Amino acid sequence: MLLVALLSVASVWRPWVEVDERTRGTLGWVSEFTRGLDFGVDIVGGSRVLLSLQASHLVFRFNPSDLPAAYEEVVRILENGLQTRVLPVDERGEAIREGLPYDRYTGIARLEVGLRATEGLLNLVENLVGGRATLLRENVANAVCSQTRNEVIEILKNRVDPLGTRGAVLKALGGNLVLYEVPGLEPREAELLLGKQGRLEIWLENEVLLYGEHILRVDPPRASLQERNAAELPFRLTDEGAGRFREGAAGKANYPTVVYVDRPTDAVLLVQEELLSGLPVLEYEDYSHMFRARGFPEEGGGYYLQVPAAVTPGSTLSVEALSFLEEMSSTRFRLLLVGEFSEEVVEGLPPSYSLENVPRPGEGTEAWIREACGCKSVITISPSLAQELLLGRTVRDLVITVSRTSGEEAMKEARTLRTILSQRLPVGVSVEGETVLEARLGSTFLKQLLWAGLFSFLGVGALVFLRYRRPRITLAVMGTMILELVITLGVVSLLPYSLNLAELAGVVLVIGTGVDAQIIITEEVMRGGVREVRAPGGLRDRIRRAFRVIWGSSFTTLVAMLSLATLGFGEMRGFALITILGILLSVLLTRPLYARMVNAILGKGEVGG
Amino acid sequence: MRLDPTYHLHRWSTRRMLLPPLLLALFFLCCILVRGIPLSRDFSGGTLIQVRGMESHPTLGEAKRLVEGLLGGKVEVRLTSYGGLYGLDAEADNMDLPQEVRENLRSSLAEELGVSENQVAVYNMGSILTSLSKRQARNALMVAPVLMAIVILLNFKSLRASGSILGSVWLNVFDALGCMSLAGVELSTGSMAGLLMLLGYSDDTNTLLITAVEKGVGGKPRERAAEAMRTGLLVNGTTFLVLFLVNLFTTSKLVDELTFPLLTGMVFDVVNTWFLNAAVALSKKERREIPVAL
Repeated sequence: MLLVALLSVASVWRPWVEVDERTRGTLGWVSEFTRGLDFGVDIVGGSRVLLSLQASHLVFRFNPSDLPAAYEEVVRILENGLQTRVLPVDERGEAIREGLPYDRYTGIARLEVGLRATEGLLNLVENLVGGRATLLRENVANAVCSQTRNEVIEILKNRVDPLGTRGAVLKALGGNLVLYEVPGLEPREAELLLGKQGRLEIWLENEVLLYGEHILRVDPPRASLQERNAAELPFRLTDEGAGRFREGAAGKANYPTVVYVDRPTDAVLLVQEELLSGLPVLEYEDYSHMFRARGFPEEGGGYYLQVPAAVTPGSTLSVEALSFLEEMSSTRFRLLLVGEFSEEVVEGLPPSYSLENVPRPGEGTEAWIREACGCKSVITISPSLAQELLLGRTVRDLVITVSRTSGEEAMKEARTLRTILSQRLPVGVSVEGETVLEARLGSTFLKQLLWAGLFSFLGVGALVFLRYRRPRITLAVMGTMILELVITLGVVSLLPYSLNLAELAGVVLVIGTGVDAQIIITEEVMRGGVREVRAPGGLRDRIRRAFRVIWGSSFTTLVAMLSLATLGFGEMRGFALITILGILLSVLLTRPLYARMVNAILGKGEVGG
Repeated sequence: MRLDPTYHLHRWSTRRMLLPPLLLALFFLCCILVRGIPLSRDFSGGTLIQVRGMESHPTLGEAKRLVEGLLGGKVEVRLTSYGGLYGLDAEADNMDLPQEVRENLRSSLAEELGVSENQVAVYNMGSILTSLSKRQARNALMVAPVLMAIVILLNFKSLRASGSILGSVWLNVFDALGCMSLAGVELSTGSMAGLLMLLGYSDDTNTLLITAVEKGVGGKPRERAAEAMRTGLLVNGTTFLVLFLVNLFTTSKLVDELTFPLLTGMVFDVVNTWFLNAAVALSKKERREIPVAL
């Protein structure tokens, strides 16, 4: 037990680890001795990110006599054309769960699509729908129904804080906005985890072969044995997905399959011409306005990156690029910038586009272009696999290979990719703004808690002494309390846990109130006299009886706290989990230890009678 | 004269012992029916006011006073910063403000803080419970009592003993809720956690009582109950002391919310365990021990 306690102290202290600057700034000297602990927003501050859900409600008028066929066709066309979920909503903007998704007399139907309503989107929708229905532009709104919003909140919670121990809080702010609060998440990480929808597509011969819904599960990533600085992300296909893969890939030895995550279907790429010299694999094809991998499909090349692109010098906007961008502006509404462009170029761009700089991933231009297109990996079908598929064998397990500048980065990216793919969002999300939150209470709360803990400790000791008048029993009770505190914090330091107000209060409460069990053991043992205790089995029976009471109440608290943890109430989940942890540690470790101490003390004859 | 907390266990009839907890429960039932239980922002949602792009930072106290003065109610203010500029986030109870009032609030706040109106945004903040977590919450709250009942039933293997423990434990929660209603303490995630924790704390005193009365050896049942009560009071006393000191020393709203139902529940636990549950356990035991001829 002493060893466990020493290891716990070492794990909380961790003198070999650098002190987090933010924690040092808030907690001062305390941070030197708590390097192993991760403090939450309330103690060391954090970030608040305002997220905007990319969804809009489109209103269509159908000819009532064409319903329901026209409605169903429009929904299918929009799902395929916009690559997004289409959800029928009522006039209040809420999802329709029962009844017809349209008004059969007026022919009006409202559909939620996972894209922001812009001029470009509306043009695209009108093009796609054609004469099947009329889009009522004046009634279109950027809005999201509460079902979608709640789904997004739950998925994002699972992405960033799956165990509910990081203290992440997500709240709907009305309209399309969601407020997200979390301690210590880097902006880039936040953008990756929160801003990605997780829409997977696998293309073969420039056609989509598999979608995200064809994935049954995504397994943990592993380091690649074939490639340096790469990680492999294995995933398993559903029955339908495996069937589609067999039909598409059978006999296609060495053909490339291109894996996209969140391919920007609403965007055009603008690439700086100077970057394109000497690209090893990709080349820009003027007539298709796309990037293409050199070679032929049967040699692993010949595939297109499925995002339209224009190329222009960094200093001036070329006539060809401008004309192509103008042509695309009716159906695309975002412009992704790859490279550095002068003000002249930016000012000359068609105003209907919203501009976004694509951050350079740091491994050359090709990786930058692929990143902008959402292209995560290119897998070549091996000759043996192609042959087996041809013979009718079903292959369910595939692998996405992620390459980065280092193996560690590749693993990190693969882990993020796994989270995103496992937790796909029904609509797109963009980060609208981020602010740094000052610590709510910071070191003040820690000091207050320290005083409260110290006085509780002394108070409990005094009460126990007044009751039993036995210094050794009192010392045993107080020593057990200290051990419990040290071991609980030690275990917490090993877990992905952010200690917030609730968790710290939980630690003090669990330990302070855990003294109940020690009193029950002492009372049970000290009732009667030395003779009764020293009778064969006497002490053991009494301790067993005491443990029956302790187990009963501990299990009841465990059940209550498990239900609180399941409720998923933001910070209260952390409180519940730390209480469960504290109870388990005390019931399994410190209570038996205390029983042994009492046994030893009473064995020497120090017992009431 | 020495004050004996176990006096009623020696002198009162079991029927008389039932009166205090039942009257207390009736009183709190009236409180809940008349006053209801106020819900905090966690459950009812609220209003978030964000101010961005300030050149300098007001102190937390100043900012709080300013916003509370404008809104006329309690708000929680957080200081923020980004890119060398400062701001503040103020969370208030759900005000459901009409557009016109909202605009007035924005302009007043902008004027007071010396920023432009478009640096102030007012949002209606939803509850932290999404529809999915509401469903989870309902399921968890339905499953928890069943699991607890199973645990207690397994421990005592008696429907009557388990029923009386469960009754007493849940009555503690009910009384604590009644007290919250009386004192106007909001039901928040913190107080919800406190109420659930109370279940476990109440359980050990009840288990002490039933074990002493049903399975204890030596002495009469009432004497054993009195002995168990002394242990129970010490157990409650230490817990109460810790909770009281944490509440006294810390200034966190969350800790107040967490400890309030626990502190009040501990007090009611004394009444419900050592009067109500003791009466039920002793009446059964005494009926069994009194000769039929009497």
